[in-house]
Amino acid sequence: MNILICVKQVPDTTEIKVDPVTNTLMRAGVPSIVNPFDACALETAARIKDETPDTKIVIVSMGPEQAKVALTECLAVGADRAYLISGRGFGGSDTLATSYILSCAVRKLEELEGKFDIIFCGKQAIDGDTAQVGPELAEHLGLAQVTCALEAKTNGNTVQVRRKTERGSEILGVEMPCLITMTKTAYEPRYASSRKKREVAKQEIPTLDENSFEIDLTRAGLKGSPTKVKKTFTIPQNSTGVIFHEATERQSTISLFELLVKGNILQLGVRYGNE
Amino acid sequence: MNLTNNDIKDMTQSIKDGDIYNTVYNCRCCGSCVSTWPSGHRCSLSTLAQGVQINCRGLNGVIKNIKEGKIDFSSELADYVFRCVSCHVCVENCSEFVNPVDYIHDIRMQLVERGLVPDSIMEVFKSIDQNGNVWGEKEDKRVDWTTGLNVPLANEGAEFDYLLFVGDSSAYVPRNQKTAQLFVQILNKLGIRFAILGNEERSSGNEALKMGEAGLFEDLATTNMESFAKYKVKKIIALSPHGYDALKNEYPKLDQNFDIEVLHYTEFLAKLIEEGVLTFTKAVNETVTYHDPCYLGRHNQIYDQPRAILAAIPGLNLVEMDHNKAYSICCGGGGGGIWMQRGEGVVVEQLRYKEALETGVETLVIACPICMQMFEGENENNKTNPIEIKDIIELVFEAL
Repeated sequence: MNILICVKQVPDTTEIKVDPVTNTLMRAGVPSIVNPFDACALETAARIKDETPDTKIVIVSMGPEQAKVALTECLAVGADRAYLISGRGFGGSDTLATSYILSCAVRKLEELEGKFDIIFCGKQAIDGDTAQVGPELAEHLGLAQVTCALEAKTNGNTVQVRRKTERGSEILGVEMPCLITMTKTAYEPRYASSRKKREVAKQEIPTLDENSFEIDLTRAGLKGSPTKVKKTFTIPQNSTGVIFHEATERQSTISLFELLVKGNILQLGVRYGNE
Repeated sequence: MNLTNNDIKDMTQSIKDGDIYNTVYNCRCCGSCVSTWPSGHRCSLSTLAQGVQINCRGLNGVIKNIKEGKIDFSSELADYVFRCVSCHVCVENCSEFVNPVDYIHDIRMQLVERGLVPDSIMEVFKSIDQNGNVWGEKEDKRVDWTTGLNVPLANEGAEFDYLLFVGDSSAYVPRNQKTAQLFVQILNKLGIRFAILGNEERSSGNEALKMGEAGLFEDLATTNMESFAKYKVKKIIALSPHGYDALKNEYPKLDQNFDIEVLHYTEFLAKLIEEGVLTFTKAVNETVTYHDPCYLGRHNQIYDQPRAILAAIPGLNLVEMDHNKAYSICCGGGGGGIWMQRGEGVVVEQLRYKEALETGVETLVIACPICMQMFEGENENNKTNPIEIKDIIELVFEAL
């Protein structure tokens, strides 16, 4: 089995602040991490590898040179090979241009590593939150896709995917090759030990640029990006909220209920009884 | 366990190979690892894994199956072996020199290399990796506890005879910060020339090592040893028995030239009392019981020095618990136990806390910041009839 995982290095949003004047993200001094949904994808692939040990896991990331740190982390968790897609012509790409570049890179990677049976992506990156790159990549490559997967297991030539829905989850079977975007899984990504990190730090990570594979550069970078960002801003917080700390959870619930009724947000009815 | 000829052959081969698992075949199933004298205390593994009869004796069967390839490394196995608090009761009680704690450590290392670590333990590893401490606190807050006190920093050129290795729990946990603050005041009163590494200090690595993250331990120990060399450290006083154990027993294994004298603060104070440097002027009229921390007692055989300090304090009356010294029951916090989730029913820290209450004394005395946190946690669950918990340092300060 041959698995490709697309990962993105993102700022740790639990540490990030927004500049109140320019409304842009203040990235200085903020640690970078592997996008958490991509880490879930890697763990899902690693679990498939646990079951089928001859599985090869290849990681690809598009970004600046420093994204190699994220790729090294993935190697420490159990990936076999990693590639960085980086080039001047790729700067400023929106989701459409990014997915196009990735699709061109995937074709090149298939020449180097063999056909991929499954391509995993995180459902979205926590810095942009668009959730567009995975599905667009599937379209560029003409692959069947399943989004928002909670788990994925292989069974012969198919992948059994449990995907999140608005009301719970559903199980789908999809034939390989396919593309699956992963949401937060019930299981945590596995730990990368310090010794493993030291070991993989020596592993070479090749960089592919615009000259490494066939690509129409008019569809990449700023030129190839129809998205224009007019303004970014933070939504002002109008209220600090109310937290109920009553003696019991039941009393807290009753207090919350009373407040909601008082504010005409809820109306007392037969179903709720007299409390 | 009925040994077959093949087992005996295997055992002989293991001994020849120097395999650490060879002693597993010595187990005679006597059960002394599980239930210790004088009353039936069960090992922490069996008390932490509720409802499942697993313990050191059962562990020998598990080890044998791992060795023979019948059990795979899995997250279920991780949930089992990470419940051991490395208290060494089983080692102390085994007449056949079986050492389940060594097996557990080795299995943990193999689990860590496979990424199979319970979530709560993984968070601790990440914190150590990112911040250099086990508590998820920022590196630059390590010296906050010294505010308003005279605590010389090695990197500010302080001349010192002793480096005070503060440790994560005394540097960051408010209850233990108070003890550290009193200790430096004692040192200043006695005119001891000391310094701390401040923000340059890193976790001793004891927890990382005991939880199987040997690589992380190596990184931490290397950084600390570089600091010791930079400031020409000759003697260290450690506040925590866990840090003490790492510095005294594990650092020399990494660097054969490591020749720094390492003292736990109880050894240091007992020595000062013996030399007549530390004398007491005030009586502390309290009846107390003393809990032997595992990493001070069973791991390093320091039983007498803490008692010598208590005996020297005027007015203090020590009542021993049934389980004391080598047979002391663990507080449940060592070897990563402080971060493992508890099941239903009585767990090891509750057994020990109950034993302290049953002595009827006013104060439970400890000499370890982890024990302090574990027993203060028990006090939180027992607001109607709590027992006062004091570090030996606090009693010494009161008597000065």
